[in-house]
Amino acid sequence: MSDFDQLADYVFKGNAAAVKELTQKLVNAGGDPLEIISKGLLIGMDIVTPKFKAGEMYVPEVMMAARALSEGMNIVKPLLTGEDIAVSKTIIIGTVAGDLHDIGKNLVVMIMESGGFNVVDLGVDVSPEKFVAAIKEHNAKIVGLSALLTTTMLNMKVTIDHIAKEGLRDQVKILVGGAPVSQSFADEVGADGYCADAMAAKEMATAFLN
Amino acid sequence: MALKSRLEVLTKDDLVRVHEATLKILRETGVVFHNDEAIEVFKKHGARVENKTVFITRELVDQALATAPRTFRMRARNDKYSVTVGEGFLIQPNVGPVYIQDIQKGRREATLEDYANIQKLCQASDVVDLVGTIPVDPSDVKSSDKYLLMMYEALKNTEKPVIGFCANTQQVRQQLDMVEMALGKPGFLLENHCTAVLVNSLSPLAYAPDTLETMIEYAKRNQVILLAPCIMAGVSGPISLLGTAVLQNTETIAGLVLVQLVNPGTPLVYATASTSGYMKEATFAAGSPEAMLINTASLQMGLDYYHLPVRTMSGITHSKTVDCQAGYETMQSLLMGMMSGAQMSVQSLGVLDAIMTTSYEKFVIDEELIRRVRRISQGIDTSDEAIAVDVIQEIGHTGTYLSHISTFEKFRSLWTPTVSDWGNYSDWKNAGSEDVVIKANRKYQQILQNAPETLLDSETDKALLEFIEKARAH
Ligand code: B12
Repeated sequence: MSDFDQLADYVFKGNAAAVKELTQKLVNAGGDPLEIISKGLLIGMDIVTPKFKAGEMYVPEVMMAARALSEGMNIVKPLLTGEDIAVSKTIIIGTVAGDLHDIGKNLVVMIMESGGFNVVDLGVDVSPEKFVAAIKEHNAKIVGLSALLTTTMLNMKVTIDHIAKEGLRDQVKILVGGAPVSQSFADEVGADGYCADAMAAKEMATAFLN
Repeated sequence: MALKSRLEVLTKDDLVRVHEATLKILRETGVVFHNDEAIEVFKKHGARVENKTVFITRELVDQALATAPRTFRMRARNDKYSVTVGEGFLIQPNVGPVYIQDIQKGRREATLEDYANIQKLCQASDVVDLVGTIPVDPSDVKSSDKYLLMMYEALKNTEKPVIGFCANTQQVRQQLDMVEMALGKPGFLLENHCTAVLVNSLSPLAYAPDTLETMIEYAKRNQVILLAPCIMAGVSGPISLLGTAVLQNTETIAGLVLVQLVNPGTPLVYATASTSGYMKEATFAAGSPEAMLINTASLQMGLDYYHLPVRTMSGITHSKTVDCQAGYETMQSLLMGMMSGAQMSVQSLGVLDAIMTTSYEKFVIDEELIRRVRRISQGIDTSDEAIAVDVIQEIGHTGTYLSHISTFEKFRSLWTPTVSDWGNYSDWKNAGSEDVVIKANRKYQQILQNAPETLLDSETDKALLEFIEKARAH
């Protein structure tokens, strides 16, 4: 097995310590950071995704893989030059105003990070103003809104409208999710996409950028 | 009569271990309360507070347990529907489903009309003891008006003890005022427990702002708090079922202490609503046999260690339609709930899809499941008459019991289904080979047709509507 294959396998198996060690070894040997990411670390996650979808891997295994991946990323990321860091891979996410449910949102954050996204998590009960400020600050291209209550779902629309009012609507793709949210609701409030789970969210976000 | 045993998963020693574990967590890790008034109450009573984290001592817990009632009377608008909480197996409406479903129109977002319909079904039902709350969440009203309108519909269509809604201080005051108006006696609430509210802790180990505002207002008005952590083992609680029961216990006891400090003697129901996580998706596993096992452990704590009235969430399923899965998961959960000694149950009236949907047909079917379970809870008559030696000897080797006087006197007391089909094959076939769901569909429509237009006298109705108008204007 090549070092890259080995690295991918460690990520897939969720072996954070081994990922850390091997990534460091590759870096010390002068390996190209971008290659370590694209041919090693992210490949590991690419094995995970279909297995998760097929119901073979469970969420805790996916989380372990995601965690192992981020151990490697932490080592490689500082070595990337400004141009390498795709600013466009920044995603702002939060649970909308009035809503405190964050378990699903946190899962989306973890999975997004495992897809190589730079995730800015604004937490729960996030006002439309905060979303707008964060989009500006981070020059984000994607925004994720989470809501688990029928009452707070309406704040998704308020948030999207506010983003439009601030003239940022064309700059960002907006993804919505949460148990009571549906595709038709997403269409109604003018979101760009709805996802029923975190893995789908990662894929849609990736597709938006391509 | 009653069953001779309860479903138990903990030994007496385990109860002590769970309690000690709870005290350790309360003392060393504490619980976060996102509300200034709650924090002040704790400080005033000598609890150590760091920012919003409150550390609770054994003394405070003991004190709270000493003032919390073991049973209490809940007064209905029509006194014949008043109930004692802390005995029997009381049934309350569901809380939270977003969708309503029936075979004619399928699954859709619920409206205020659906909300009123469910209240009517609850009023008409011989197995439903409490009304109100949010059996379906109406999507066609403004969220600012929602609580007022739901309370109005509950009061208009029912006269059983009513459950309100978790909301902010002002909204809670309004709903309590409305209940008092419907009772027609100013100040009545302070002396009588007439309404209850379900609140959840913000697991792990926290309480949210609205939740605390609701708890404090209900406590001040001497009304009932149904405190139910809703933890998913492995997601928002430990993967071990015992660990999740410990977390559930800890959060409940923390809430109990607050409520008793605000108003000693406030009735609080030790309610349990946890499940295991569905680990393929990290979601709420409603159909799991392990869900009730967690709550069985907690119910033992509430019943045997703390001597509090207990409630559980039972009768739940993950199925999306009223199919075989819905049937067996619902029964599994309901039966385990009753057998674990729950004195009240929620989400037992037509829920589907992990409490996202209420089905009209399943409501009617679940009523029968509740009747079955209540019958089981009664056990068997073990009297001298019931042992029936005389009858057995009289009939001897050849006679029939069918025409014996003892049969004649008692045969109607044997349990008989209300929607299930027990007839013979050809009758069933000739009647159109109907599925139970179709029968249930007819039945619910019939009940709605026969429901009274209103149960409010015109004066009270007018007063309530004026109250709502005023509240809306604000
Ligand atoms: C756990 C839970 C809680 C916990 C939350 C703890 C926490 N820290 O989050 C507690 C107990 C505190 C709680 C409180 C309340 N809850 Co709650 N809760 C749930 C429950 C059981 C599970 C939610 C969950 O975490 N699921 C697990 C995660 C992994 O799944 P998920 O959130 O759906 O997320 C996945 C997808 O939806 C998607 N996704 C999520 N977010 C996003 C975002 C983006 C951008 C994308 C693309 C995808 C995406 O990906 C995720 C991962 O795959 C649901 C029931 C249910 N069936 O969902 C009720 C539920 C959501 N709650 C409900 C209610 C009513 C409440 C309360 C109002 C109850 C009360 N009386 O106080 C309060 C509200 C508090 C508040 N202001 O927010 C109702 C909502 C109904 C309605 N009408 O809107 C539900 C449906 C239960 C019910 N039927 O009663 N709740």
